[in-house]
Amino acid sequence: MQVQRAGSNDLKINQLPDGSKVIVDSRNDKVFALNATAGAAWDACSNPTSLSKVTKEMQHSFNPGVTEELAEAAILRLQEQNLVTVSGSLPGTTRREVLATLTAVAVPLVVALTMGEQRAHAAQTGSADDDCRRPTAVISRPPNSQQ
Amino acid sequence: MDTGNYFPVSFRFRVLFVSFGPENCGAQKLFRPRSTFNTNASTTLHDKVKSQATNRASPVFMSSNSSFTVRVYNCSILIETPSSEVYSLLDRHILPSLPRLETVAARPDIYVRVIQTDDQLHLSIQGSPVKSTSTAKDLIVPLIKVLDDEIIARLDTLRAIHSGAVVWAERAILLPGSTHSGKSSLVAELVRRGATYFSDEFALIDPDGCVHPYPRPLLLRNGLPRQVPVLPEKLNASVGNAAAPVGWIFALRYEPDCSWQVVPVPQSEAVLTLLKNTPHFLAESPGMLESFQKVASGAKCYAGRRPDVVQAADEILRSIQDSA
Repeated sequence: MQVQRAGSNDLKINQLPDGSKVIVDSRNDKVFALNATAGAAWDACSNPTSLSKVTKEMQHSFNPGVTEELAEAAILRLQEQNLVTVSGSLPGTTRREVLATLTAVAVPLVVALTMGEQRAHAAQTGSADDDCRRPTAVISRPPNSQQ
Repeated sequence: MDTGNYFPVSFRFRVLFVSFGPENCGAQKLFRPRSTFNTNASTTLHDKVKSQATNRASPVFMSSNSSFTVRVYNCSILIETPSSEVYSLLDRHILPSLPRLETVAARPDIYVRVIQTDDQLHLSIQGSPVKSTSTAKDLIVPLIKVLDDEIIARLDTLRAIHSGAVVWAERAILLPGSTHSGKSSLVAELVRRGATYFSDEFALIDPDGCVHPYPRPLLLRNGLPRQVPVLPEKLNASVGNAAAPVGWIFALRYEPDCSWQVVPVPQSEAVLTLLKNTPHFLAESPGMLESFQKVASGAKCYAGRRPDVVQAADEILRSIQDSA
């Protein structure tokens, strides 16, 4: 089984002080939030690798308490969001087995927001009452358009 | 950088002026002796604006002495009305802590006009009708909200987040959330407890991730369907006048009868929360994501469900104390 990052050339990655990561996928117009556990797994996949190597790397760089089940769960979260590809099959640890191994290590978490979703949120974030006629539909205009 | 233009040049020479901006992002105090503003200067102001406006097709400025101009960041707002009662009410409620200008730019960015016909008052912005009401006080909330949208859309370097914002111990607490999420009530409770008021609606973020005040009156429901404007001074609040770094982000959802069910969340998740609560499109706002990442970088981030504001404020201040 081999794990490797997908589409790395289109990704902009920023690590935050708590170890979590924001990844912008410009090709697929998505922004991802990885918690520190998923972020450590991501770091461990900088080159094509195996689950056991990911586990060791996470133990070394992130938390000695990382188990293979937890590393697998992290890889699965990344795979679900197409951030990594996995050739071959993962051992298939159940969520219950992953949770059973957790002590001080947070469950890996990857959250995605598409540009379309962000746009929809932004369009709903006006302040004016519905019964007010807005003079212009300015709120959806990009901030620099006035200048 | 728009933050340097927050106050008119003439004002800088009249009162103590402490410049602020990304380079000195901190909760400094700037005294703005509102009582020293010479509102009688509005005739001069009006004359200037009127003469400057002669080349414009629209809007046509009124012949009236009841006008004032206020500048918020890079946006100047001229408000005119022939009614002294309406003037007084608007002067008291439109960005009340900001000085009224004696001079204006070549032309105001936003032109607000209230006229009276028979028993109706008609509010227009940029010459377009917005709302008609029978009483002046019923114009206040709609005007505040429409001005929010107009001002936010004109920001250049700042980015807005739909969020309550107060400062506690020189660092900002952000309360991102949609309308009806109870931001204003929670902001009011926190300022009653001594927090400095920044805004109950929009946190304005600069490229360094600091938050700037947007000191409109709070709009509170107090259990009623309709909002009423409440001046910060009525809550004995001090109003922020300088940028502050963000110390805490609480993305809370009010659920009656629930307990405090709020947990720490990763800073990256808080960034996504901020992106979901900005009126700006990410794809069209270069630098916004980086600004929001800077906001979260210095903050303890929490999310979850909250009970009533009294208990929620207790828990927020406890979390802040614990994280110190």
